[in-house]
Amino acid sequence: MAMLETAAPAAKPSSRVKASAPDSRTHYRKFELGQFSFERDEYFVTIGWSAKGARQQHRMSADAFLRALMRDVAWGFFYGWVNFDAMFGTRNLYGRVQFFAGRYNEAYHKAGLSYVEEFDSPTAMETCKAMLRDWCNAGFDPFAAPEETGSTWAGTKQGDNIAAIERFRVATKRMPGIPGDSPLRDDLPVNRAFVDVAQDEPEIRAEPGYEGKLQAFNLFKYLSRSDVTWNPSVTSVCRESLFCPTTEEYILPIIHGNDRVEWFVQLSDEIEWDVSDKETGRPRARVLMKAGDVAAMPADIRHQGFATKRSMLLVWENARSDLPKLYESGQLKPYPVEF
Amino acid sequence: MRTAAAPAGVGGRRAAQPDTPMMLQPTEDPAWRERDFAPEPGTRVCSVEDVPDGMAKEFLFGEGRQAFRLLILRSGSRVFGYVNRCPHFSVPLNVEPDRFTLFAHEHIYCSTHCAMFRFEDGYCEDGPCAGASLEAVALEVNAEGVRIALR
Repeated sequence: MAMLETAAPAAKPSSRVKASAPDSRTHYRKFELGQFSFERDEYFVTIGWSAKGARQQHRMSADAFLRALMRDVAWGFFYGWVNFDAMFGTRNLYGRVQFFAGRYNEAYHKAGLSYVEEFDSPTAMETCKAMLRDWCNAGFDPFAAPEETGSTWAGTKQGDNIAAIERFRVATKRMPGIPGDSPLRDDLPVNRAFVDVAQDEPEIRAEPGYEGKLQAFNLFKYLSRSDVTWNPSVTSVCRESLFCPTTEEYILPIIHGNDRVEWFVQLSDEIEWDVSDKETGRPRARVLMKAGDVAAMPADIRHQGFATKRSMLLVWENARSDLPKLYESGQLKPYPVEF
Repeated sequence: MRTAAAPAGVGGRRAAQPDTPMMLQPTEDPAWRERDFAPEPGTRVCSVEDVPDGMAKEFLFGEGRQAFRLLILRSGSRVFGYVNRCPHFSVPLNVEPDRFTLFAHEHIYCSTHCAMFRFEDGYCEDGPCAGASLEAVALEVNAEGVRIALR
């Protein structure tokens, strides 16, 4: 194996992706990762694994699968659990990653039909990217809202959309607009949902001695020019405190089970959140957040958002790398406030 | 915690022989020098052999969560110094002490979100901050070991 850690140096292989030749009818490739198999046809992605001595299968709509896979790739397996739906997903172990089927579905798990396999993250990431490249047809942008990208995802293989799935994602060191830091999106168009958002920038009047040392920008203008949905990007770094605003339309393509508390500030319009138990998926709450509302998503839940009109959401993350252990050990309670 | 003691060493970013002192970069003060506990130029960090060949090791200056985290990668006689801070989410590349995800001599990954950086220049070739770079810390290497480069 090709990896990792400081113990055993290893050479990097050219490719660790197991892919078939294109199918003669659909022209899509099939993929394998460990004991998991992934296959797509005109409408569906079928995930396979072995349990109880038999081959099990789970089917997802291909657009839902690709939207979820796009986030998992773009976010580098993100924080904690990325459930593609109630059955399948990934769990980031930071350097390694678990793929699971049915493990966090109470009925499947109790029936002994669930399966979990762990991989080194780079290998798994390479396979995920290969699936995206092969399965996203020309015209289908898994980051875009359905109204913007249409039904080009369906059907047999027709070209690809590498530019969309590998679009450049800006990293911010401290705050957009600071010289040498990320840009303010002036080159991007205002999204159709935000044509009424003011586009002027704040005026900075610095006290003597502070000239050139202060920065401010119009966050609403910045977000109005977001070209993706459900894809937080960092706009403020203050030690381990990260502001990650984003614009949301349609359904959050994953059901996120965070391994830390995550704060949401609804900046415009509305999002409805389904909140359920992280381990079992049992429903716990439904939260309708309107502009100005603030919520803390606890560390022991999974959540999925729904937004009919594109809205602006600020996600506030604590990037401390020891948080998952503090929650798992019980040193920290899974919620920030006790009522 | 590891801190530097007496000056020594070689260093550098491209090929540098242990007995061939080499000065690299800085024409102006890099941003990392303004960080808490940033080591002074000339500070000795370690011997070349303290970093296993093809691998990575972290050296801390100062204490607590704001300690300065220096990452040193080694490939043969070459050593590469970076601030241990991923440009994506501004977190260290490792989650556990001295447990790095890497392909020896070639690439090091951020364990949090899989950004992949080249050994030799810290450039992110793939991942959520592709196109960004680790912040370089110029090193010098000589027979006495690795130290922070003099200006």
